[in-house]
Amino acid sequence: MLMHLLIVSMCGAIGCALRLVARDVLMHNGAQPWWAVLVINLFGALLMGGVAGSAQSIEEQAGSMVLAAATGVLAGWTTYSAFSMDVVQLWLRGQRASALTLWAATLCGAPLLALAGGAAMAAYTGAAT
Amino acid sequence: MNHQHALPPVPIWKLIAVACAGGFVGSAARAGMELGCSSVGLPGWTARVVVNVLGACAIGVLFARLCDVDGRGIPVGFSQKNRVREQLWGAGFLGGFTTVSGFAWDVASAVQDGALVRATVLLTADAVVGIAAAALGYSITMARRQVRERKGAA
Repeated sequence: MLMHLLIVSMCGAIGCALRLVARDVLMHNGAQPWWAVLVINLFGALLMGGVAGSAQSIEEQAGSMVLAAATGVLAGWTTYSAFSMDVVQLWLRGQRASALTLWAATLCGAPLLALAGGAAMAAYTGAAT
Repeated sequence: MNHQHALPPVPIWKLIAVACAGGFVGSAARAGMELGCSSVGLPGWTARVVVNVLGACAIGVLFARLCDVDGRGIPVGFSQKNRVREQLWGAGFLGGFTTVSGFAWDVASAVQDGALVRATVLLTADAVVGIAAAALGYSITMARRQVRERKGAA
């Protein structure tokens, strides 16, 4: 259990660092901060669908530590706190359309992409075996 | 404030290192919450609802304490010193603590299981309760800060 905790924490820290690098790269290419967080969260949701949707076969083939590492990176990579604060900030600044777009895109898009990621992974592993 | 311009900008590697440290602790706290919930028989998604709502409230409080504001109490950015603090506690700790990917998969698996009540609870918590928590955390803390600053100026 301690090992599990350590792996999740270390991989979460890696996910955080990757998120900052990605955010920096996206913003250097002209993305608004909230837009960068949206892209990061949606991409993380897609990958999480692939990982969590095939959790059982990943655990069987690669071990529970690999599963913990993959979900740990993705959980650290995505952030609900920054998303919620971005919605509040956009709303306060009067950018209400952007606030609602971010809100709807994250809350509808993330679960849908997770489903898509799960389906894609299932199709891929199904085709591989 | 003039002295802020005298400080060199914080290098990116330092911001990343600080966020890494925060993310390590935040991820451990989330994993601890998941273990705690499962030890009392609650499913994993309940832990992720709790961390997201708590984390949203906390980032509202954090922003209201650290950000520079305009006359209407709207955040306009951070000073160099507070930028590092925001990276440690906001992008790092709370970013590692909260999770959108976990939420996304929780909703997806609820839909796959046909558990519509669970999906509705998750969506309400993250779409309404969490955003309200961030807004409340921010506005209450900002109101108290403005009262304090007015007293300080008087």
